[in-house]
Formats: sequence, structure tokens, C-alpha cells
Amino acid sequence: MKEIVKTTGLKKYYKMEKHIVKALDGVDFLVKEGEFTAIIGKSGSGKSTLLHMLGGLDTPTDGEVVVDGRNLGRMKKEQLTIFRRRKIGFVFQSYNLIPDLNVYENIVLPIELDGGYVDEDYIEGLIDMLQLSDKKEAMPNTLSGGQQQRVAIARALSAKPAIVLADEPTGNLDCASSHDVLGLLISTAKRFRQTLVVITHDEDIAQLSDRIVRIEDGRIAEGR
Amino acid sequence: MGGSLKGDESVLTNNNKRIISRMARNSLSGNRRKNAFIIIAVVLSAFMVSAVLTLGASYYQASRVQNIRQYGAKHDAVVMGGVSEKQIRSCREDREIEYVGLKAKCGKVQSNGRDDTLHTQFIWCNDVFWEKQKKPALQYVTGSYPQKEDELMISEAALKECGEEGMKIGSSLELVFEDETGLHRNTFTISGIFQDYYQDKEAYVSEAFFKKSGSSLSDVLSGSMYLGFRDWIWSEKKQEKFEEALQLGKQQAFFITDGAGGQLQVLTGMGGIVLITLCSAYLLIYNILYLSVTSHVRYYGLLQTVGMTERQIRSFLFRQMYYMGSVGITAGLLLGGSISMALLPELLRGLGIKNEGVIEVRFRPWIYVLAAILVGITIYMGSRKPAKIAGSVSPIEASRFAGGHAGKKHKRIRKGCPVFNIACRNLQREKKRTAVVVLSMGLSASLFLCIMTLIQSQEARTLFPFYLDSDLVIENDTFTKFNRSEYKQIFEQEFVDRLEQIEGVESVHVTYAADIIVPWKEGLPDDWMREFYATSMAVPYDPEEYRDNPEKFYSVMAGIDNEEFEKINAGLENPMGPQKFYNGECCLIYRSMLDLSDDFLVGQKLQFYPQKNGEGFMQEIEIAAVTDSMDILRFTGYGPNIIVSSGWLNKIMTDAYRQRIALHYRERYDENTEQQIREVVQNDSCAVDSSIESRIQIRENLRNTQGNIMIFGVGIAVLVGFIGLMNYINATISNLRNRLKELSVLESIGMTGRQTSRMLFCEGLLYAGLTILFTVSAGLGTTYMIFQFMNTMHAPFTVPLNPVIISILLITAVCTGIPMAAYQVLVKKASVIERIRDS
Repeated sequence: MKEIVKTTGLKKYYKMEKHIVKALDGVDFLVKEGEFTAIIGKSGSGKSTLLHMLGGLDTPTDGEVVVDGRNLGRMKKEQLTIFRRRKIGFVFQSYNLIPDLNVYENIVLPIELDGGYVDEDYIEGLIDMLQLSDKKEAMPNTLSGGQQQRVAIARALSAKPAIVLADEPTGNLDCASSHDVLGLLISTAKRFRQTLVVITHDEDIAQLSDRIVRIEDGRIAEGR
Repeated sequence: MGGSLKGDESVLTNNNKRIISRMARNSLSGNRRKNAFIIIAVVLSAFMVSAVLTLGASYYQASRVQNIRQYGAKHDAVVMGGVSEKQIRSCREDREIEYVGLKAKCGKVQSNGRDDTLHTQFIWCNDVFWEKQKKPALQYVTGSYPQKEDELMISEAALKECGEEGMKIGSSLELVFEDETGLHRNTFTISGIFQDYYQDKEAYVSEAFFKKSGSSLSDVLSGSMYLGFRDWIWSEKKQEKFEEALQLGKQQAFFITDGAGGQLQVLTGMGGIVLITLCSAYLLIYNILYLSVTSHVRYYGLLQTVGMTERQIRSFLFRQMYYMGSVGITAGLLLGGSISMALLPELLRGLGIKNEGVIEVRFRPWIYVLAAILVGITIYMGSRKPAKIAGSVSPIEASRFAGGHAGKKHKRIRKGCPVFNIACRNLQREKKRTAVVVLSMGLSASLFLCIMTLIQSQEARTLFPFYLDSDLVIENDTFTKFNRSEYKQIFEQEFVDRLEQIEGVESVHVTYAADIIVPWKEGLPDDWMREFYATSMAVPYDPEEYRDNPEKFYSVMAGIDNEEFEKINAGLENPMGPQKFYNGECCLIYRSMLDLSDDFLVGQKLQFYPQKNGEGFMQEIEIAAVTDSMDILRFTGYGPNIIVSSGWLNKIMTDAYRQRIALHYRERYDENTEQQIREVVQNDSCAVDSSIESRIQIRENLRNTQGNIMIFGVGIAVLVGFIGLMNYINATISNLRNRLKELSVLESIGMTGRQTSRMLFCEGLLYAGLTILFTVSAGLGTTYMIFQFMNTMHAPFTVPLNPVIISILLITAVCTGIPMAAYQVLVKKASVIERIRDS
């Protein structure tokens, strides 16, 4: 299988007064196309930082991130944003929906920002699959946490990205909702043949993945 | 029970005062940036209010001074055309009248031996007029009012005309003058010298001189009475009643000055401006506090969670405002005081305003007390609602509060540009805040528009009507001679040719004048003379004398060229046929302020004899139109005075006087051309007996008196602009700070920097559009009403196009530029995820 994400010697250091915090300290990491990878690790281990680097949301102190053959570090800010909206879908722990837009508008926003044509059949299928058909015109603040996260997943998948990066997508949800949401995320990603990288604390969820990567103190401890 | 709850709170109150004060103080030092913004807002409001009140009061003062200068005396009403003993007595006995000033013309200076066409008027006035009414209208006065018959209190302009600028008090001045008793030569001692703002050529004389001059206060052409009212506001009804009580004769006229009639309007208009300023300040404070509270709802919720009651939170917020208000008001008043007292006039000079008048910005303590009270009330009013919101937030609500969420209503899916859609939604997100910002900016823009309109109306007065739109007029002053045999032909054709040859002169128009004799006849001549005597003469009309000696009842005929005719004809209600006018078949008649209607005059045939070499040939001409303007005929006779074609006039009499030469420049206000004209006049023999009046000169005089008004008006307008700007900057920064996470999320899902900028630009454009819409609808409407209310000078209402265009561009630039600049500052170089995390 083709390598879709690859990091080499990835470092992210933060200056905290007189100390330097090494959030990532030379991470070499690889994800293959269509693979479902779970990143696990303790709080503050650097897993979120790694995910943000993969998505071009943060800039590394050193090292390289190559996504779908493109070196993110060599891209200009504008190019990176466009690349991200076309190739990467993000799911945040705190949903981060746009409060002024309704469910449908939130979902199609990445496509519209790209000035592209909205594939209504695909979007409707996505909405159906995520059980949001009756909520299309609802505003985010009228939805439950689980519903909001499903909207966030739909938004992440709407532009048919090659990779979906999810940062503890069930972190704010109850147990039942967590399984529903994650089940939907995995099944939709599989259906649309997308690469999925998920950060989780939940060992049960991690067991569903094709590969588990454990991060400790900014380094990959297990599973590369 | 309410009682027990109050009891609980009162138990806590004792202990809490200290902690609340400490928290309020800590909050001040802990939230420096937010508090600095509030303090700046309070400083600005106090500064604005004190500056507007100071400048407003100075503006009011300046307007009054200007009116006094323009009228040449401080008075509220004047009776002209002679004044009877009975009227004087009745005014003196009237409790509503504070001052009764009396003034009478009692002679005219003819010559000083070198120039025999002097214009200086001898005037007598009583003590009240001189001390209370004339002196405030003078630039300066030295010496004392004449007591002896041969003493004069003379104006600088009169001395200059005599070529005696160097004369001092005690100097002797020999003058030939004419009064009701005849022509006299006398040597006067100068007892005083004064200068007014209009360079009037006047010399005040003693009562002894006045009594011997043969003039009296009751003379139609001499006496006038200047009244100062005890109350500064006189309603129109009261004015009418007073006028009725005066029982004015047909020859008398009663005028109320703009000051007395317009005080209420001017003050109300000014009050309106102060009110709008305070409203604007209220909106600014309210908005800042509201935004501050709503962005700290979690904090207030937390305070409740740890046990602070609603009242304590309100008290905590009010205490914060008390500290910040005290600092802000003090600083604002100091700033307002110093700016108004010193810096603003300098600043305005730097902006290119020529201050030729006297800037009088006095320290008025009441203004600062009033400003402190008003701003204090405004702070309290502006804090009330946000304090209530802060106190009423429940801890649970606060923990969930994310700020500015859209309503629960389902919204229809929008098609179109997502960037624009998001921009629209952002404005609708907090409609109240948007409305407050738009209202605040709109109020500022409206006030700016209003002030600029008022200023332009003042400026419009500098676009004064000047003789048939010409630029300079040279008059033959021999026409001012009482003895008509002294009229001289001072302008030769060669002189006119020389004027035409000046490069900057576009055209030269000569007005010819000649005496004509209209023989007595029943109908128009008799009716005219009867009306003339009833209106303007102190002696009764004698038809027989007119019939026997018609030359004593002369009239004047003026001749104008075709171009000037076209201008006059275009302004007539019923224009004449040009060809008939050019052929001498019809003429225009000057009504001479007589009570004769158009219907009576138009269509009548007027028969007359031209004098001088035209004598003997009777002419007949049809009256085709009537004018009330004295533009053409500045000197008239007893009988019907007519305006005819100069071509025809020169055919029937070959040596008519050139009475006036009007010149049009290629470029208006061309000082170089004017200088050349003056040199030509100076080097010609006509120099002594002619006088020049020019548009440039009049504009200068008007500028001298209007300088202050311009300065204060622009000052207020510029200061008011800051309020709207501050409000918008504050709202934009607060808004962006609250939305920073959202904007970063948008970036994370693919909104590029360019798209973000475009969205912010669209938002700014929408703010600008709404503000402009508010300004051109409500603002313009209100401006029109205020303008009409304050329009005591009856200036035409015109929208000041340039300031409007500039302010529209400025509003658009500010509204679109500030969000983008603020976003760049807030974002700095942080990565997307850092911003999402930190927001």
C-alpha cells in the first residue's frame, strides 16, 4: 500500500520561561493509504501535537511531514490551507462547529470555501449515514454533544479528503454516544476508502484499529 | 421570603464591602488591557462632552459677537425711517426693553480739500447707544465721545479715506460737510478714534452739533432707534405684538435682529448636538461594558459559584466603574480643558483653517461640573444593563456560555458565497451589538454631516450675491453729491478700453446713468409721486409744484448692455422680450420700495424728457417689468426710475454718464488681475472720485467675522468623529477576540487567509453600508430639521458634497480596514492550533 503520511525526525519544542518542553522529540512515523491508525498515550505525551503536525495546523521545530507526497514544511501558508481543505479532514474533541451556520452549511463549508460543486448525492448519503437527516437545518447550539460530533465528522468527510485526522473525537461524549460516533467514523472512512488517524485514550477503541501507535514523552514508544 | 433574603444579604454586606472593593481594585490591575479601554472610553467621553460644551459655548459666544459685528451695534431690534418722541417714550417705559439707543445721521462730509468725494457720515447718538450698543461692536476705541460742537469721534476708515491715518486724539481736521442747513467748512478736534469690523466711514458728533445741524430723530432719512430686550428670547407673537404697539408710520420700518429671533433656535440646535454627543458616549460606554461583561460571563458565573450574590456582583461592577470613571472623568476633563483652551485652535490652524478672527475659548467652570455630572450619569446608565446581565447569569449558564451564539431558530439554508454568508451571519449574530455600533457610528457621522452642513451654510454666506455676478465694480462717486450739477463724467472710454486690455479680465460692462424728467400727468406720474412722498418724505406732496417745476422731481434712467440685461431678465418672474428692450420699446422699472403693484405698473407708457443734450425730445417707453433690486440703480430720483438698453440710451443722448463699470475675471478671486485693475484706476484721473468694491474684499471682510464659527464647527465635527471610531474599534477588537477560535477553526477546515480577509472586509463593508444608510436617512433628515431650526440667516439647504463623499470613503475605509488590521494584530504569528487552544 502507498505511504500517505510520513514524518522524519519530527520535533516540536516549546520555550516555557527558562525550560524547553519537548512535545515531540524526533518522531519517525508512517501511515499507509486506507489504514486506520490509533495513536494512544498519556496526557501530555505529544500525541495531539503529532496529529496537528500531520494536518499542517502547527509548524515543527525540526523535521519533515510529507502528506500524499507533499512536504508540508515547504508550502506557503495559503497553499497549506488549500491543501488541507482538499486532502485532510479534521475532527476535534470539542467539535468546533461554526455557530452561525446550520448543520448542512457546516457540513458543506469546506467544499464551498474551495469554490467547488457540492455533490448532493454524496452529502445526502453522508448525512443519512451519520443520522442527521432531520437535523439539516438545525443550528449547532440546539444539538446534543453526540449530534454535534457527528456533524463535525460529516464536515471532515464532506470534501472527500484522503486522510481524516480525529483528535479524541469521543472525549466529550458519554459511553453510548462514543461508540456510536466512533463506529460511524470508522464505517464512513472505510466506505469512502479514507485513511483514518485517531487519537484516543480508550483501549477498546484502539483495538478496532489496524495499527496502534503509542507515544511517550514525545517519542514513539511502540508501533511506528 | 424577600425579607429574609434581604436579611441574609445585609448580614453579608458588612464583610463583603471590603472584599468587593479589594476584588474591584485587583480586577483593575489584573485586567489592564480591558480596563484601559474602558478608561480611554470614559476619558474620551468626558473630553468630548467638556470640549463640545466649551466649544459650543464659545461657538454661541462667537455667533453673538459675529452678529453684533455684522450689525455694527448690539441690539435686538431697530426702528428705522425716523422715530417719534412718543415711540421713544413708550419704549423707555416698556419693562421688556432694557436699552433704548438713539442714532441720527446729521451730515455728510464732502471734502477735505484734496478729495471732494468723501463718504464719511456725521452721526449723533445718545449715551446708551454709544456705551451699551456701539462699543461692543468695535474693534477698539480710544478717547471719549464728543462733548463740544467741534469735536469728532472718528473711525479709522474715515481717517484713511481722508488720507489722515496718522492723526491722533487732539489733532485738528478740516472738513467741508453738508447738513440740512447747507454746506459748511469747519475745523474739528478729534476727541476719539475707533475701528469697527466693516471699515464704516463714520464720525460721531456731539449733541450740540446735532442740534445745530437741522436734522432730527423724527426725520425719515435720519433717525433710528436701537432696542435691547431684557429677555434674550422673544417669541414671534411677542415681536408682532410689540411692533403693533409701536404704531409705525408708513415711512418707518421695524426689524428684529437674527440674534433676538434666533437665540432659541440656535440654543436648541446646540442642545441637540450635545445630546447626540452624549447619546454617542452612552452607546460607547454601554457597548464597551456590555462586550466586557458578555466576554467574561464565565468569570461572573464563577463568582456566583463561589457565593457572590447578584447584588454583590452588580456592586462589584459598579465599584469598578466608579474607580475607572473617576480616573477617566478627571483625565478627560483635563484633556478637554487643555485641548479646548489651547491645542484645538492650533490644531485647526495646522489643518489649514485661517483664523483671522479672534479665538475666544474661555475657562468656564460650570462646563466642567456639568460635563462630570453628565458623563457620570452616562457611565451609570451605560453600566446598569451590563451589571444586571452579569448579576443574573446563572453559574450553569455561564459554564456553557460561548458568547454570541446564534439563536435556536432553524435557519434556511443559504446559497451563494459562503464567505459573504458568514459575514452576514456575523452581523446578525448579536443584532443588538451590531445596532449599537451602527447607531454609534451613524450618530457620529450624522453629527459630522449636520455640523458640516451648518458650516457650509455659514460658508455659503461667503458666496454672497455681488453685482450681477461680477468680480469688481468701480463706481462714479460724483453721483453721491447732493448737488446734481456736480456729477462728472470721470470714466472716459479710453479708461474702459484699458481695463478691457488686462489679461485676466473677461468682460467689462458699463452702466450709464442720466437724469430724466417725467412731466406731471394724471395717472402714473401723479400716483407715483403721491406714494413717494407718503413713504419717504417728511413734507407733504404738492401736485401743483410738480406740474409747474417737473425738473425738481427728477427721475433716473440707467442703461445696461445686452449681457447684463440677459442676466436680469432671466431672474424676472415675467421676462421681457429682448428685442423690444434693445430697441428701446420697453423698460424695467425700479419700484423704489413704494406700495405700487406689478399689475398697476406693467403695461403703462411712461413719457419723459432726457436731460442734458437730449432735452426737448420727449420719449415714450412701455414698462414691461418691475424690479425691487437696487443692483442697477443705486441712486434714484423722486419720480419713476427706469432701466433701459444702454445702446438705445446712447442713441437718444450722446453724453450719458458712465456711472458704474463692472468687471468679470477669467478666474474668480484672481488677486493678480484685481491688483492690475487697482493700479489702472490708481493711475487714472478717476481715482479720486471713484470707489472700488470687489468680491475679494467682501470675502475677506466676511472671513474676518466668520473665522471663529468655522474653527469651532470643525473642532466639534472632528472630535465627534472619534466617538464612532472608538466604538467601532472597540467593538471590532472585542468581536474578533471572541471569534478568534472560530476564525482559527475556519482556517483549520480550509478557509485561506485571503478568504478570511475577504470575510472581514465584507463584514466591514456591511457595517459601513448600514452606517451610511443610517446617516443618509435618519442623519440627513435630522440634519435638515436642525438646519431649518437653526437657520436664522435663511441660508439655502445644501448637502456638503465633499465632506459627505470624504466621510463615506472614510467610513468605508475605517470599517473595512480596522477588522483586517486588528485580526493581523490578534493573530500575530501563532499557528492555527495555538490560536484554537489559546482562544
